[in-house]
Amino acid sequence: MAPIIKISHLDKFFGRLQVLKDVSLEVNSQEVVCIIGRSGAGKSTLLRCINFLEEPSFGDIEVDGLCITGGKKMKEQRELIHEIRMRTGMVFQEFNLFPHMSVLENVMEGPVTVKNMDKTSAQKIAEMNLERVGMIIKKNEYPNRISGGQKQRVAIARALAMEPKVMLFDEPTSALDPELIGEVLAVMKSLAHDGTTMLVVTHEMEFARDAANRVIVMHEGEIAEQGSPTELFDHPENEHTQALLERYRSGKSSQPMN
Amino acid sequence: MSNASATAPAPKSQADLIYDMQMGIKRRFSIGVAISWFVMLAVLVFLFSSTKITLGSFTFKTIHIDTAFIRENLPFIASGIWVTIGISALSIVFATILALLAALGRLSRFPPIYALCTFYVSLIRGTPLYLQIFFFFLALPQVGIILPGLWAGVLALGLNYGAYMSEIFRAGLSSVSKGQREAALAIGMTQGQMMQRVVIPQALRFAIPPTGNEFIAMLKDSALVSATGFVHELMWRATKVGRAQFHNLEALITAAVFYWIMTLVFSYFQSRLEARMSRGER
Repeated sequence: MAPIIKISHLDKFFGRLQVLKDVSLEVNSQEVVCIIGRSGAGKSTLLRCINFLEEPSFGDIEVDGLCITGGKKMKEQRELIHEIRMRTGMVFQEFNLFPHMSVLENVMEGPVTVKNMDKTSAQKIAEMNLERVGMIIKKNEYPNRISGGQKQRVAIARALAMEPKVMLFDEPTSALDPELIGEVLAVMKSLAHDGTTMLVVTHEMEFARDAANRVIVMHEGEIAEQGSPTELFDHPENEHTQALLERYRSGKSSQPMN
Repeated sequence: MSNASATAPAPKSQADLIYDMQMGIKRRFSIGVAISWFVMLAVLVFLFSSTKITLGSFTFKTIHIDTAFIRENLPFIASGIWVTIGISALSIVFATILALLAALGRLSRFPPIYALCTFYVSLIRGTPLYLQIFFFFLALPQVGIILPGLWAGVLALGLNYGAYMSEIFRAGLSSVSKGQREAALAIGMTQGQMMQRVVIPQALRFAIPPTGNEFIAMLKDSALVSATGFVHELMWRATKVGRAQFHNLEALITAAVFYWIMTLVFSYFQSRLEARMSRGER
């Protein structure tokens, strides 16, 4: 079976600074892949290149059979980028819910505006997805009236409403108070359990260990090591993985990871 | 405070006492402000009371106004209020549309569009409003466009305020975070859909209170239109009767009182609106 995401030899430059160096990876259907690594390792940039929130500098990105080439002008592949964005769901660290719309309207927005769906069908889809993340009771609230954890669950529902082929999570719990992280991770675990294809950038090692099929460690713009969670967490081979896990274990006893 | 609570039959909690004290401070302040306002208003009225006080060789005189003239011509001047409000309202609507277009144009990557917007703002902000108003009355007929006085005034005021207000809308547009734009793009919106559905609604929300401020300023600047002689608003009427009967000062003071009352009323609604927007669903 063809992979949902196939990245080959991706480079990304910010000005003269190279933040991604020859990154290649695949995500297969129904697979949950977690990317871990220190801040500034290029994890988020890698994720954001997939739906073109960042323009890749060189290399190919293939999503669900649609291939775009880095370095080519965005204008020339606008249609392709649009298609890819429709097939990927993105969840941001800062939630980015639309503050002028209710929870329900936030989730309906994609189907109605992007897919031109009639409001009745869109509402049905929105309600189903809000049900899925346990937020249906808040459907008429506005984003500023709900907690961070609840916002992130709505943001997940908003992405799911577009019925994407793969969900991209960009540090979905990093902006949350510690006591709110659990509810978001629980939703993500249930998605993983239901067979959603997921690529997750995270600092939550427990989540990576429990929910991921594969874990990728990034260091200074490169993939340092990848493997199954058990391999990687119990027998890390790469020195950067070892350092990362060491830092995590010593930090866990005193203070939560940021 | 502690003495008061000791003698009270049912002692209040610490929080109640602090709250009462804070409310007391606020109340005393408001009362103080109100009294001071009243005193200043009385002084102002006194300055126009045609009083003459002689103390030895020193004589103190206040301004003399003919109240009979004011009473007689009050209805004539007052009937300009609605013209003033009307011209200001029409102009602010026109200005708002222009300001939004100019602010959006400045986001354009197409040089002529960007240039058009900066050129417009620069030209309008670089010349006096008074001059611009005359320009439309003098220049347009030359090319065969003869607008009724009111509309030429609205055109001039709208263009002028649109240029200044484009800065408000520009700030409104940039108040919408990058994350909002990215979220819109990530669910597959086009640039146009993103602007229309996500960015502009939030920018407008940001721009509404300052637009109210501009309206209040516009109420007074609309007086400049009277200079052309074709719009019978408050200022025009005051000048007309004042000049005809050699009571310019009385007529102008009457108009000033009306302007002041209008701005007081609109400022009240404006501050209500601002308070509501600031705790709204932002």
